[in-house]
Formats: sequence, C-alpha cells, structure tokens
Amino acid sequence: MKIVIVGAGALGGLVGAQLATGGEDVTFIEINEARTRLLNQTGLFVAEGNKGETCVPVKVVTSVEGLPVADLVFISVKTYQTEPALRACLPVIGPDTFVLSMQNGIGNTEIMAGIVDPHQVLSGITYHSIQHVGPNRIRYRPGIKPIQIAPYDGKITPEILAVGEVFRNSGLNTEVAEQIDDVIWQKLLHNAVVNPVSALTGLTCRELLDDPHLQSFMRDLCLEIIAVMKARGVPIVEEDDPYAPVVNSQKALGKNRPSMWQDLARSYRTEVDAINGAVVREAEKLGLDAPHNRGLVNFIHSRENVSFLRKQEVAATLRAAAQSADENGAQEAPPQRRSAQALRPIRPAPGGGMPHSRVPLETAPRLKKLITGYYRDLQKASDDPARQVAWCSGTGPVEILRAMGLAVYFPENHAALIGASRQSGLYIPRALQEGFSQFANSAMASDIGAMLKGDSPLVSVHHIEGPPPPDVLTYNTNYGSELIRWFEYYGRHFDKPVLGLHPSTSLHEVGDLEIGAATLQMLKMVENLEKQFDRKLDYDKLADVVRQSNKCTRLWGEILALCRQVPSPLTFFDTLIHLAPSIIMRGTPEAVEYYTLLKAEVQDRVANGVAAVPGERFRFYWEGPPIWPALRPLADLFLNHRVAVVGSTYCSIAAMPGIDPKNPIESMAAVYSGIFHNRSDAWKEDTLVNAFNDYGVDGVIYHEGRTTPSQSNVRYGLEVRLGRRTGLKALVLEGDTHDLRLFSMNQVMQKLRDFIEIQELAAGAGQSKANG
Amino acid sequence: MAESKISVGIDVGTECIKVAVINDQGVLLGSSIVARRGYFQDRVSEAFPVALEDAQVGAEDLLGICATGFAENCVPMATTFLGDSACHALGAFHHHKQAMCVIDIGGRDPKAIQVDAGGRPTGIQTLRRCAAGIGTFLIFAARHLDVHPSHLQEMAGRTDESCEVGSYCSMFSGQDILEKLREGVSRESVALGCINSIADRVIEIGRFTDPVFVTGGVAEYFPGVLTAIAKKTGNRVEAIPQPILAGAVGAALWVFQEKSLPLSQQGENS
Repeated sequence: MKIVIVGAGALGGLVGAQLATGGEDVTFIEINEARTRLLNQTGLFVAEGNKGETCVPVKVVTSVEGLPVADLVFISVKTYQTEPALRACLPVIGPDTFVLSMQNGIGNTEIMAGIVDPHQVLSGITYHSIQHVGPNRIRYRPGIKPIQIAPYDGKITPEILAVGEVFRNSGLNTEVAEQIDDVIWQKLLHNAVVNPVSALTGLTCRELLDDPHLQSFMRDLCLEIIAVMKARGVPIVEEDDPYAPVVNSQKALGKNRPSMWQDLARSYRTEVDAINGAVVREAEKLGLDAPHNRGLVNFIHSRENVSFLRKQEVAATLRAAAQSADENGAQEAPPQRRSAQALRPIRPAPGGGMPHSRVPLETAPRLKKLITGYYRDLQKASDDPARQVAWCSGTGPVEILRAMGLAVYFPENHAALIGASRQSGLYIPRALQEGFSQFANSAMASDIGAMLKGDSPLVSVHHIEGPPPPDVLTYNTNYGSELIRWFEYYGRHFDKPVLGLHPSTSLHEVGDLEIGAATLQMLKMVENLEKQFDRKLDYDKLADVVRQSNKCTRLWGEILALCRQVPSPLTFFDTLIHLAPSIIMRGTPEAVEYYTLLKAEVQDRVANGVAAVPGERFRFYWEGPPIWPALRPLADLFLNHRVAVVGSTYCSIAAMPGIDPKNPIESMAAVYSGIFHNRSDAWKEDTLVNAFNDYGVDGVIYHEGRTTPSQSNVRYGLEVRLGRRTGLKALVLEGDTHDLRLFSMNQVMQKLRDFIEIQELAAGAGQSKANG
Repeated sequence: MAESKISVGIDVGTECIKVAVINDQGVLLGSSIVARRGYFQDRVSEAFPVALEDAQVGAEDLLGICATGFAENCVPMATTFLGDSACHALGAFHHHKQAMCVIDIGGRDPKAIQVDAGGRPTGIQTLRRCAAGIGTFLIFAARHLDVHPSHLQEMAGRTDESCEVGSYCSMFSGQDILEKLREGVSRESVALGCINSIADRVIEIGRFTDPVFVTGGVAEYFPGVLTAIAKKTGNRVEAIPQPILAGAVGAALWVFQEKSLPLSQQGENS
C-alpha cells in the first residue's frame, strides 16, 4: 500500500515505522526541515519499552509535490493543524484514498469530512504510550487494547477491512469497528481530566495524586464530563466510581507529564480545544453546562498566550545578541601587544580538558564568546590606567565591586581552568617551595604555582596576556577559610590591600544578629574601597547590579531545576561548564542574557524529552567539589553506563536566591551568609535530603577532596547519617580537586564502576560493560 | 553445535592471575594460578591453557569466558566482563547459599561486600585510604624478614607475642618492620605483628554482620589474618573453600547467569 504519513511525530513516527518495516511504501511529510534532514540521514530509532532499539530507515519529504496518489493518508499532526495538513495533501488524495486520523480529542474527523468525501474518512484510536526521547528516537509501550479503526459514515467495506489487515501484517494489533465514538469519549475523559491540570500546575501525575485539593477538583471535573457522556449515550466505565480509572491512569503515568504540559512548556499551542473544548461544545449541544471544562479552556489559552509572548521576547533577545556578537567580533582582534608581563600558555595534558557533551547544546559556542569577551575586557582594564581591577572570591561581594566601577577577576575560576587542563602537577610543586604543605588547598597551590612560573591557561584559551594584576583583593569566608591564605598571599605578592568578609559560620538559621554583623562588615569594606579609590559607592548603581545579580542567580537556579526532569536535559558535566557566568559575570546584563538563552534551550530539551545521557538509566547526585583533571574520563564512564549525574552541591552554590535591589547591602549580607557551605551540618543534611528527592536520584556520590576540607562535607559521617535517613545507595570517593598525586584515579574509577554495577545488577541487567 | 556447558572465569589480580573452569553444575573442572610478573597479558596467555589442560577441555568447548579484576582489559579472549566485587560475591555465594558479608582480601584494596539471599551484591565498602596493599604488603614484609611468603604464616604461628606494626600505610609499616629488626625483635614476633596489622586494616572498613565469609589470596596463604579478625571483632569469620579462586569462579558463573541459563545449584533463596 502507498501510505503517506503527515507529521513525523511520536504517533506518526511509530505507525509509519511499523508499516515501513512491514513492507509498505511509506512516505512521511514533515514541515520541520531539520528533522526531515536528520530522519533521512539517520533513520528513526524505535524502542519498545526497555528492549533494544531498532533503526528503521525512513523516507521523509517536506511537501507532497511529485508523490503519486496514496492509498492511505495518515494524519498525525496536532489537532489545530489538521485542516492545513489535509489541504496540503489533496494532491495525493484520490477518490479511493482513505484518510485516517488517530489524533487526540474530538473534532478531527469532522474537519476532515468537511474537506474530503466523508466516505473516505476513517477515525482511529490507539492506546499506545509513545514518548519522544530525541528528535529521531521514540520509545513506546504497546497499548493494552488493540488499535481500532472505524469508518466515519459507519459503513465497513472490504477496502476498510483491508486497511486493518495491512496494519496487522505490520505488527500493529488492529481491529475494525463500526463506530469508535464510545471508546474515543472514554479515552478523552482521561485526557480532559489529567492534561490541563498537569499543564497548569506543572505537576507530574504522581504529584497530582499526592495533592488532595487537585484530586477533589479533578473528581468534580470528571463527573462533569461523565454527565455529558451519559447524556450522549456513551457507556461509562465503572459507573459506580467513574473517577477510579482516571486515578489508575495517573498512577500509570507516574513521573511523567502529559503532552499538554510539554506543549505549554515549549510555548506551543495545545490541543485543549479538541479535548476540554470538545466537552464544552458537546455539553452545549445537549443543553448541559460544563463550567469546569470551560474554565480550563480559558486558563490554558491564557497561558498559551503568555508563553507565546515570552517566546517572541526570547527570539528578539537572540536576534539582538547575534547582532551585538557580530559587532564585537568585527571590532575585537586579539591584543597584539607584548609586555613584560605576558605569560606562557597552559594547554591541556592528555586526558585533560572539559568533557564534550554527547548531546551538544546549541548555546555552548555563545558561552565561549561570552567568557572570552569578559576576559578581553579584563585585559583592557589592566592596560587602561583609568580603570582598576579587583580580585574577588567566587561567592564574594562582586556586586559592590562592579558598582564601584571595578573590573573583577576571580582566581578560583583561573584555578579551575588550570585544574581542568590536568597540568596542576607542574605548578603545585612550585607553590610548595613557597612553604605550602602538600595538603594545603590544591586549587590555591596550582594557581600560585602557575603565577610564579609565569604560565596561564588564559593565554591559550582566551588569548589575553594573563590574569590582570589587582588593585585590591576581596574575599568572603562563606566558602571556607582556605581562601584567606590564598588572597593574602597575593596581597603580599602584589603589595595591594586585601579586604575580607568573615561572616558567622555554620549557621542553622541566618538571623538578625548574623545579618547585622555581616552588613556591618560589608559597610566597612565599602568604606575601605571608597577610601582607596577616592570615590563614593553609587547606591543606585549598586541596586542595578544587584538587580542583574538577582536575575542571574534566579535563572541559574531555574536551569538547574530543569534537571529534575526524567530524563535530565543536562548533567553535572554540562552545568560545570555553564556555571562560569554566574560566578565571574554575576551582576552583569550579559550573564542574564546568556542564561535566558540557555534556559530556553534547556526547556526545549525538556519538552522534547531530549536526554543529556541517551538512555538514561540511573540518576546520581554529586556532593562535594569536582575532580577537575578527571572530568573527561568521569563523564565518559557515566555516559557509557547510562548514568546521569543530575544534581550537585557545587553547581547549586550560585543559585543564591534573595539578593534584593531594594535593599542591596543587607540582602547581600543575608544571602552570602546563607550559602550552603556556611551552614550547619543539620541544615546541609536537610537541604541535601530535599535535593535528593527533588531530583529523584538513585544514588549519591560524595567526593572527599583531600585538600578541600570545607567543601568536603562527607568528612564527618554525613554519608552514614543521610544513608539512614534516605536509604539511598552512596559511594564515598577520596580524591582531590586538582592534585592527582594525592589519590588513585584508578581506584576512583573502579569504585564508581563497582557502585554502578551493583545497581545495574539489582535492576536486572543481563550484561555488563568492560572498564573504560 | 550443542549448547556448551563449560565456562571459564579469569581474575587478573595485581599479585596473580587466577583461572577457573566450571561446568553448568557449578563443579570446578580445573584451574590455574600464575604469579604476575611484567605484562598482565603475557601471564594471562600462560595461565589460560594451563587451566584448560587441568580441566581436560579445549577452548572450543567453552560457552564463554568472563574476565574480572584489576587488569580485566588484558584478557583478549574474554567474551564478557563483570566487576570483581560482583564476582567475589558470586563465588562466595556458590558455596554458601545465604545472605552474607563477603570480605575480599587479596593483593590490594580489601572490600566488604554485602550479599543478599539471592546472591546479588547490595553494597560494597572499601577503605578510605590509598590503594592499600594487603597481600602485597605481606609479600614485601616476607622479603624483609628473609622468608618465602608461603612460610610467613608458619613463622608467625611459632609465637604468641606480637609486636606493634602500624596499619596506616604500607610504606610506614615497612619502616616499622625495619625498626623492629634493628632493635633485635624476633622475626616470629614481627611476622605475627604483620598478620595483625593486616587484620587491623581490614577491620577499619567497618562493622561486619555475621556470617562473614572471606575470599582472596590472603585467606588462602595467611589464614592467621582471619583468626585475628575474628578475635578482634567477635565475628564468625570463615574462608570459603579455595578462597583465592573466588573471583575466577564467580566470573565463570556469570557466563551462565548472564545468559540466564540455570545452574543446577543456583537460584535458590534460602
């Protein structure tokens, strides 16, 4: 049979793939050109449940031009696209062509019967559960009931039976019935009750079940629809408790959210008019009222409009960013000047460097441009006698520094680059000659050692001469007191003032006393800065910077929260890379712009079910700092075992909520005193338990950094206590952030592999993979 | 070709390579143990045919070969792989069909592995230290004491008086041995001290729940370590039969398990 499938989405993809595998002549029509190219190139990957994937070669075109008349046209686009899609197919619809719709909701076949001869229209219903897990991948579970096809005009002909036969021969369990109105309504009941509620609240079906208020509303909504169905004469499933089957579908969907949520999240129109809208229309016809359904239709349309506007805003931002990037690119040539301070490059050692994502983000190249721009500006500030540079700790008071017009540089970011290059071994020994112990903070030792040897990764990565010398150094001990020695060393080296903030530590609550003390410290710091630079802090400017900082940290928190999605759109190895602007560019509008774009792309991934780890099987949380020189082998190990590290303490630091432009200093004092590392063990434990739940993790990795006691929370029995509280499997890794000599990387990899293998075996994996 | 009923497990450890040949009844048909010197792959190529010959089977008779251990990637003839903790769990469970705590004390990296009543590993604990030479340390201590490693246990058994040998680090403990010898302490006491030091180290892994079964070469050649552990912890500590082969046997068993082929002794939850 010549079959044309309109819309290569989840449903069309599955049906088309099965028919093609069954030997039928199948052509897909898809308007998305990128998806068309991809599918033609790679084929469509189809997996049933957890069984392996099969790759089905498919033929996809963007228009029907040149195609012969089809025997069957299968419409699988969104209901609001039915009419244009069908009209576009008229050239391939002959008098004997059947047009079949298995779309959601009600109204599709009516639309179709208004365009072609009603005798050619077939309606269909499927109970398959199909998910898009990538632009060319679908996973499905076959329905408990067979696919049903019925003629629009109620007359079964031998030709229609033949269509059923073709489906069956292709492995699609199919029956032909005289009418399927009843089953369509019965299916619609579930969609109409669950979809809009999940879409509006953002809750998964499991979460909906846990909410008694929503369950009460959904029961009422259900009964309203049942009344309409009864009036129409549709047999009711489980008449005594018609909501019970809907509860079961929520249980079955579990952690998932229905397609209507995905549509809203993606800023697409939903199919609410064909679902709840159909109920409202039917009720009217029957002289009944359906206020709940009508209300929901209005709510959903309202949210569709908001999302649409935001999408336009994002598109405008993208255009503006592209324009300004072009302008910058045209003007910026790498600085040619060689001064006595020019340093040598640090290039990654074998095995070093940042890990490559297996599912690369489109936004990623922008990050490189953004950060290079930031460092180039630092170089300019360094060369410009009218500008000054401040060195600041990652969770230090950058907002104040920016508001004072200082360019800000972060030694910790520099140290992370050295660590990732896997070259710390060249620099730490040099630092030890200065009198540091082998077990002093290795990030500090790497950074100081590199400075003393005259090398910097900024030369090779961002093409500037090196770190800009400071006019002042500021830090906050909220991240640990190791920073003090780091900054004071440089203060002595450059003979420049070092201003520190030392908030009260191990706080369970951040109370007035602590905020008061921290505020006074900040004001004192402001006073010192004003004296040094002979100008006053402009509090309006500070409010602006704080406003940007607030947006930046909020966006970053939202991006991290998107990783609660199963499968996760990002992993720890992605967030480690994209964390940088929230540290080094916090308080700038550029960071906000960047995270707006990144968030949109990640949301899109979420809506399309794109996984950062294809085939995600386990989800872990990483507590403790990263092992910078081993990111690549670690990322590969997790990818190969289909483990997604979905949450981390390290990357969550920068999601500090609460900085308030209306009350800059005090809110900064509160927020900076309240970061994770400055809290009590009990607070940390509670926060981690919540994080484990929120991210739905299967296991926890605790990294104990040899030289980072203040970041290695596991040192004092945390893993045992959290294990008792949560029952989650955990692994403690002894490592370090920078110094490979202090631990055995082989042992780390072996332990991780063992840990993952236990879970694979428990989950019933028949096969194991070799090391590496 | 008829479905083969014989499999091989190869456990490539740091001190020696162990090969076990078993049938689908779980019976050990043959084995070989070769000390590891130089390249792992060369020793694997030596050990493999010796085991086959011991079992009187040919390579073509095998259903599969599972590699495990530190250098499992040096087994070119492997058809599948499994981590060594899981292999030791399987190997111990093969002899004792019950939930248990398995302690693997081999050349290095001692581990406690919790095994459930179905033979599946549910948790692994290791030492929070550097790679921790265990058997390796005893071999190197034997050198200091001028005795063949296989006689170290006997030497330790000749005295009741142990001396203090640290368990923080093999290098530090080696220093302790030299200091004791310099002071004129008897070699027997030092030997016993080393045995106790290993036991101390293993105990640092954590609390063990009875029954405790021990696998690995140390249980085979230095059984005094097990006695010391039992004494210090109060646990019932027992070596499985042929403990050094546990990993290889477990690996061989995995070949069947992976293909979901029943082993007549397997799969009974007790």
